[in-house]
Amino acid sequence: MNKIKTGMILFILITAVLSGCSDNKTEQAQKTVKTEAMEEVEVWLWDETFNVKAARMAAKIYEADNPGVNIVVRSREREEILSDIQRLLSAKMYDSLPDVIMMEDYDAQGVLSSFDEEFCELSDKVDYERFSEYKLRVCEWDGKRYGIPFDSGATALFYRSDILEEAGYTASDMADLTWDEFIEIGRDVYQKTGIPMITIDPTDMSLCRIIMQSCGRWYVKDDGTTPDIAENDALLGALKVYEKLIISNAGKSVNGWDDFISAFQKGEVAAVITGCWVVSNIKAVPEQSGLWRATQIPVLDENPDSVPMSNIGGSSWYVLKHGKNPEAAVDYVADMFGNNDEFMDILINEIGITPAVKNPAVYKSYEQTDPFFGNQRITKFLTEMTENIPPVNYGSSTYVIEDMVEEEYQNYFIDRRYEECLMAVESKAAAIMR
Amino acid sequence: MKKRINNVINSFSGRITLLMLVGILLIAVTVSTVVLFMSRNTFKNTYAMSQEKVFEQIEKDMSNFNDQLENVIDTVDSSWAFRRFLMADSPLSNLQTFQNIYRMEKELEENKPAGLDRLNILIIGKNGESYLSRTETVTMSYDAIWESVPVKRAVNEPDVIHYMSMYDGYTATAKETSVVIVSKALYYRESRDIYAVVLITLSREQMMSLYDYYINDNNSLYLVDESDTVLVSNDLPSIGKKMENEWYGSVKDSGDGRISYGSGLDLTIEKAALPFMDCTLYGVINNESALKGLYNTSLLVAICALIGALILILCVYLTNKTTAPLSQLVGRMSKTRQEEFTEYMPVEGTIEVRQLAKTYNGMLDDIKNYISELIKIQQDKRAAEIKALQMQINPHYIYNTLASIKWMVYQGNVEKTTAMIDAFISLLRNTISNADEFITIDQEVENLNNYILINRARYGDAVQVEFYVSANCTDCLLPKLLLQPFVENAFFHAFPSGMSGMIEIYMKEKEGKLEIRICDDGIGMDSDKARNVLNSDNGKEHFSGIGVHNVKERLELLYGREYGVEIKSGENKGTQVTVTLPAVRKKYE
Repeated sequence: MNKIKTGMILFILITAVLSGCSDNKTEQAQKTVKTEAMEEVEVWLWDETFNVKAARMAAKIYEADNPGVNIVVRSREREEILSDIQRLLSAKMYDSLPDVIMMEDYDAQGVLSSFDEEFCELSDKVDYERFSEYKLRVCEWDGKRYGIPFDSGATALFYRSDILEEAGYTASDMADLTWDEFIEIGRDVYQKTGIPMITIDPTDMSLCRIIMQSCGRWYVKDDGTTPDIAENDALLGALKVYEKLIISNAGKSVNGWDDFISAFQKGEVAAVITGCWVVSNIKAVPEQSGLWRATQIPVLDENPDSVPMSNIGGSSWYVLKHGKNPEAAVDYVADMFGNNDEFMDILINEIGITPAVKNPAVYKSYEQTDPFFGNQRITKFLTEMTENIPPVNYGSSTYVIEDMVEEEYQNYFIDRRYEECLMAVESKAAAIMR
Repeated sequence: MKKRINNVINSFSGRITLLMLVGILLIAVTVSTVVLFMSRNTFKNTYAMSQEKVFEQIEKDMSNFNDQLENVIDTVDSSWAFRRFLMADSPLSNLQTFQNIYRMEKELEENKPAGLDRLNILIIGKNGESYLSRTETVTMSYDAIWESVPVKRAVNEPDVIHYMSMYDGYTATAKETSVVIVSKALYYRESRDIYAVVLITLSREQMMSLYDYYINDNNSLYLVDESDTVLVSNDLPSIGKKMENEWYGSVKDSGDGRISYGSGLDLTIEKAALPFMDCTLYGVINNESALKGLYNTSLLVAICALIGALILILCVYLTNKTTAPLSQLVGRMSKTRQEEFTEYMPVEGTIEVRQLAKTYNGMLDDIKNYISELIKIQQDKRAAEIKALQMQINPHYIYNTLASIKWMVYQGNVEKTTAMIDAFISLLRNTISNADEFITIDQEVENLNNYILINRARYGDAVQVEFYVSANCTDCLLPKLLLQPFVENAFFHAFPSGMSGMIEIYMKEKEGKLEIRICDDGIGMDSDKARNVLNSDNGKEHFSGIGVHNVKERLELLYGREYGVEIKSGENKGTQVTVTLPAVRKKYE
């Protein structure tokens, strides 16, 4: 009898303890439900007038349709995003990761090669057929697609018609130029108006990239890993262009992004040769409306491969697998930037984006004239170029090699022995990339 | 119910259980309280001490960080490239600028602190030039920057580095967020004329990396400048505002080190002045919340309850097992008095209980022995008394009989007198001389006949007596003078005032019992009286000391309760006395 009693009491006690535990569990479950109520998606990107603005507009629309999601857009520096992401991923510090990042196309392969496992594969989330081939090559790795192409980096020569007219040049004078012709005009304009044509930055020699790609060349060969520098006549041509720009005062030496932007915004230069994404910054100064024109970039005189089409910059969206809410993040970017023609139309109007798509005619604003550019069909002009940009393999060390080029260019500039300069770069690059 | 509870409380095992319960509770509560209190204090101290080390590390890190920034600023100040860029009276040529810019970038790159390679450095020169180290835009105009507070401070005190919290920095990435601006004016060594101001923008994340290992749910950190404004804190809403925490007032003026603050909140505050920043660093430990996670009170209570319950169950089980024989003993003892001392205790359980059971059983045996001995003595005594009684003949009877004989002698009826004397002699001999207690039926019938003869001589022939004795029982033994009292009784009480009647005596053996019936057809009596006849001595003139009243007692003494006397009677219905006793035959040697 006593034994039965003891057993019963034990049983009751154990049940009580166990039921106490299960109570705790339900409490925890309730807590997690609470925090999940509002899903936060953090986006890291750069360029207030372009990328950041686009992400914020997308967030507004997306949040209206998905009240449970809160999209936090953080404007940061491009290099900082890249170094932070690489640092966090290699340390596996997932707590501090954002959900979505924007990555420049030059950096994408380098990051994907080491961290492809850390990004969400989007192959079946996005209709990739619509995007231009050269963009898709950038954001895929090992046959899997990780990025959603955003803007094209189709390169154009944007110029101030008023300043050039002052120096006696018309729109037809500016069409189909070679670099030498362009520099001559620049020299003339500077002499007549005191205004240089373009800015050049010794710490960011973007013209090298523009000219190389216009010739279908790059710092590396098509395999992406073999340096192609010493024998690279496109790069050699670019260095010579730099020299001529400096000597002729057609290129104004400036420092960094801020100087680059403020130079044309303040009218300190008469032209910009860069990717079409710069349109948003050009249009940020409403007083200059109607003064701007766009035309094709110059070609290299002595290089038969050179075409007036190139690419600079351009970026894509990537979703991190170990962010806070990867599902919501994938849904957000796929929904807004992957499969949304309507929103792209809005972006064309609002930030002057040049979509990197095969068939831009689907957009209503595609053939629209832009009074800012003297009623040029600016989107159409830029988009049409996109399809003819010579594709190159950027490899994963673009900026590393460019730093070397910048350094050696400083060293060899005095003697102008550029062949030797490039040989020096190649030997360094080969050492780094092995 | 109440009574049951009372019973449980008053029982042995109930009390032990109750005592154990109270004891366990008392121990659990006091030990837990004391241990909790002691460990609380110890924990508070060790926690504060460990946090102090961390805090000192932050202090060091801040100092290091400041040194690194100072180094960056020195680099700018001592670099010919920056000097040329910021001081040039006549503009540089395009080529010079191209080279100079590269040189500036390179020098800064080489001297940037480790981990801060994307440091946001904005340098504005008096000559209208500005330099930004990052790929982003300056969002404030040149003139507005010169008018901003950090620049003004730097200009006012060009020798020191100034730290200031600001909402909205100078550049695009510092927009709509709180940042710390580090400002320092650069001036010519000799004239002390300022030629530029270096503005380093530190984001919240960068500042946090200096102290985030100190921060947890219990600790918070405040970097407060000399105007009581919060520069940096994990308490985000307080950044950029005056310190408003209640503890701040009482701590502000005390020296560096650990301070306990107990009014309202239980806080431990670390304080360290950072003179190189003109700031004071406060680390605040909330002891309440730090201790909250220390103990899982519900688990503690559950463990105590579980162990307590187990001990209680064990205790109840053991005491029950120990005291069960005792309770059994109690039950048997209360029965013993009704059950004539036959309830023995089983000898089992603990030594004490076994001893108790043994002693009890022995005692029971003793009591039983004493009682049976006592009963035997009593019986012997009574038997002796009765034996004495049956040996004596009432002297009155002798006087009266002798008087009757004398009267008969006077009458001259010799034959009758002789018969009477013979009967009297025979009666006396059989009664007094014969020492045997038992006689045969024949002898008893002879005695009775003699007695009847004497009686008839004395009182007349109105009453007839007839004997019907079965042949098979003539040699059965019965106590001497067993039937005489009944006959006497019938003579004197059944037939008052010369009434004539009949007394019939039947004797037979039946199933090993001797059954004797003495029946008369006299006046009889009611049943109350009949019962009294057996219990009281109501005759005055008995033949011997034995009367009807002690016949019953005699039989019971001799043969036990199953034998005895029964009287059946009714008014005018006569009386029938039945005596039963075992049939024991005389043994002839």
